[in-house]
Amino acid sequence: MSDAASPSDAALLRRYAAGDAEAAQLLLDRLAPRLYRLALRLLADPAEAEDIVQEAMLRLWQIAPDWQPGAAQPATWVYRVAMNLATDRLRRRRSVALDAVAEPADDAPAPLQAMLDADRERALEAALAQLPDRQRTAVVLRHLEGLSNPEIAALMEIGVEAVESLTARGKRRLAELLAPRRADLGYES
Amino acid sequence: MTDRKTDKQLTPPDALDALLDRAAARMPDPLPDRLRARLLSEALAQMPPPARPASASRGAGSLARLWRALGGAPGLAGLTTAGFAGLWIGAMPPEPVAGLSAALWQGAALVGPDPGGWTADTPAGFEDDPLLALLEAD
Repeated sequence: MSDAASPSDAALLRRYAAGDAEAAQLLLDRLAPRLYRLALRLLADPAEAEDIVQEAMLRLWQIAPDWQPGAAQPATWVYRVAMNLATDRLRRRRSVALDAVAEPADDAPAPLQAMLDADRERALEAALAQLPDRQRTAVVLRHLEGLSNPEIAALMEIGVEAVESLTARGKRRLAELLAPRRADLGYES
Repeated sequence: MTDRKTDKQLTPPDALDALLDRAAARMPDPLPDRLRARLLSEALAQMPPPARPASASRGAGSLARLWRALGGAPGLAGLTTAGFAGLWIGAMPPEPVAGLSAALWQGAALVGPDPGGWTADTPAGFEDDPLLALLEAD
């Protein structure tokens, strides 16, 4: 009934494993945009985000024939794979200094507020890049992806208290990183 | 302008929350079309082959299995023909075959074994064989 109207991810994965190409498309359109957004927010690099999505989806297709019903939701599983792959890349990447973030061009035609917003966004992105991996992941999942603490705990395979601690410490560190630029970002005269 | 003025009044943690909220509300970049095409192509390449459709006679059980074991209609036709041919040969044997049978039976009677013909002299060198002596004593 409801399965036919809106099949679950697990049902689509079973259909894919049975050779149903339509199920592959449906599952892809359901999961890939979310994975891409997550990878983009964690890595702030479209090319790397594409690699992450491709690798995570490939692993999902490969495990489809052996998928155990009831073990985990495919979305949670593939989200975790993408998150781990992104974390690995972050560890390998040299951290970007906050001061190295490009300033908006002076001759940009955008209105002042839009320029200010863009500048703040870039500063936030750079500050996020400075956070330790687990703090960054927790902050992105909680505050940008809007996941609940229990959901994040399941994804990161840690307790809810640990998630709360990571997000709190992450936000404190973000505030410290952004403080020197408070005036640039329009928070002080 | 108003926004900027409000931001100035915020304590840093509030400003950070506002910054995070704005970033979360920003329209996420859509999945690039070429990436979607690549992902789909990979998905189809990895996809196991479709399961074979169930046979129409699957529910027929043992009869269906017997039918398949006999080779279907051609197998059954061959089997029936062979059966009738066997019956025909048994009931109405052709003349040359009947004559051959009689000759064989007669020949068999003529070559009946004569027990006397099977006795033989003791082979040379075995005259004093104790085993032969024992047999002859019987």
